[in-house]
Amino acid sequence: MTFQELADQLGAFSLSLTASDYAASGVYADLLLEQRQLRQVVQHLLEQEFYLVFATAVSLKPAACLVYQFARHDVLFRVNLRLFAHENESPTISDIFHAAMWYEREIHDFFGIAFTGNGDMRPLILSEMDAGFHPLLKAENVCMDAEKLGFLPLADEPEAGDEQARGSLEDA
Amino acid sequence: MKTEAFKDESRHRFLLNMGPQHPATHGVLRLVLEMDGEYVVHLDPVLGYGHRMHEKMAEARPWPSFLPNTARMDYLAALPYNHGYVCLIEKLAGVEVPRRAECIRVATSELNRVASHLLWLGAFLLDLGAFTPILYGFDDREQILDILEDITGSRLTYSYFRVGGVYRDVDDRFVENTRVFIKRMRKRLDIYNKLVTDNIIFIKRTEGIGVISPEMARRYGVTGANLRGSGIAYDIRKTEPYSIYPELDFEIPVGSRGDCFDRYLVRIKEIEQSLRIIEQALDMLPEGEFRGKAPKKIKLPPRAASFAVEAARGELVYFMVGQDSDVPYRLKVRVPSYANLSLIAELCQGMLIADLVSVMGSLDLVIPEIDR
Repeated sequence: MTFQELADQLGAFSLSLTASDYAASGVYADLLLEQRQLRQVVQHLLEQEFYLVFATAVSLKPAACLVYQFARHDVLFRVNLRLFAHENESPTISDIFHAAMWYEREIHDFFGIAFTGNGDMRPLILSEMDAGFHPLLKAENVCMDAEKLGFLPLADEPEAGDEQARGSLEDA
Repeated sequence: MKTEAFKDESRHRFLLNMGPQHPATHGVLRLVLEMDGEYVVHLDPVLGYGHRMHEKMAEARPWPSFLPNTARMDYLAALPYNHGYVCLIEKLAGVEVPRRAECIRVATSELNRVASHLLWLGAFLLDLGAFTPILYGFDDREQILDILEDITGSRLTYSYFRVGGVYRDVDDRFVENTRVFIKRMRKRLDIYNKLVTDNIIFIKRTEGIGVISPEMARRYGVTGANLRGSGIAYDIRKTEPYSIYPELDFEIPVGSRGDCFDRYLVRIKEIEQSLRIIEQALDMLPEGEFRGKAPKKIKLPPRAASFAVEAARGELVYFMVGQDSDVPYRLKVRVPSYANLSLIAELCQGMLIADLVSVMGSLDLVIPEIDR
């Protein structure tokens, strides 16, 4: 698997993989996604025998940015996926990569981001008593702009259908 | 356990609480087990008892002040944690490291890895009811701790590496003592093999137990000896080599079945390989500076960067976002035990509780690394 091969494969989903300077960033490729594209891309990475190194979030303005790093066992190839958790929500990938189950629960604890479709959003590190307390979420006045980091948020407004889904999730 | 009996919900089941204070959980980990007799029907790990929020601490202090924190996550092998952190800062700031420092870093990291594997060996066998190996293991580990204490000043939570090199130089005494230790350890490995590897009770407790398939390992992001036990020769020191590792001649031991026994065997063989690495690092140890020129104050640029190293338990990644100041905006530490433990619910379903203890021991978990 080379950068070009993955770029061609992702091109079929009309996504453009950006080359990243490995010496400076530690990854070979970088991909900024919209939420609706995430599961398709991650499923593709599973089929292409990537594994999930870690998933985390960075508290930014206007929305927190989720970072997923994938790598391979056979060759040196690290790739970062980034997407913005608008309205503090994002689709789960825990049914594709089971490693994500704990990462998503941890991100939920620390950043308050809910993963739609993840059936187990119980606190992992914090306790039930800490509901509403998100230690890594930055206050408005110290929160950095996504653009300053070169993390450009895509227009990824929730669609009309999503409103209903969110409503039922909150009821639950 | 037979699947039919497993699905029969009319059978009497009970909850068993294992931990958070339990010798076989190797730290403050709690497992809530739903049991059918001696079989585990369902397992739910509960984390967070010893969580210190290191990642938050990193956001609240200049980066040099975080160095001691790196030693307190996986305290059994702190030097690889030092290594990953300083390498990331060196990469962000473009700092050159003198060759002597690189050799010292690799030699001490590998000594630390051997010490960690020895402690794992003792604790694993103790979990299985064999008391003697831990006495041998601690005897050998003590020699390493003495050597490392001489040069680093600490015995467990080392903060020895610095950006641009190491805190202080090694002397001839270190080289001499390390060579004596390598010679001694090679002989001791024979003893371990006679005492443990060929022991029929040990084999019966570990062979075919807790089999991790390569596919399952990938789904859960398992790394380190646990992954190599399943036959995948993935080691950051080879795949994504850093420091002087590309110049060194060593092998990556792998297993074939992915059971507890293979994971055991891989670590024992890794001790031998680490001794080879230390020997070569000492042979090529040049005269010269042990710490290069690094700027007094390093501002972390506003971008994301990550650095991966092979810690004693697997892949360790520091992911940092700077903010044009010496205080990081965000630091994520990807620790190997986190992914290595996350598969336990699937792995141990339907297993005898005695085998669960065997699996936990073979995974070589350090809970404070998960509760970082």
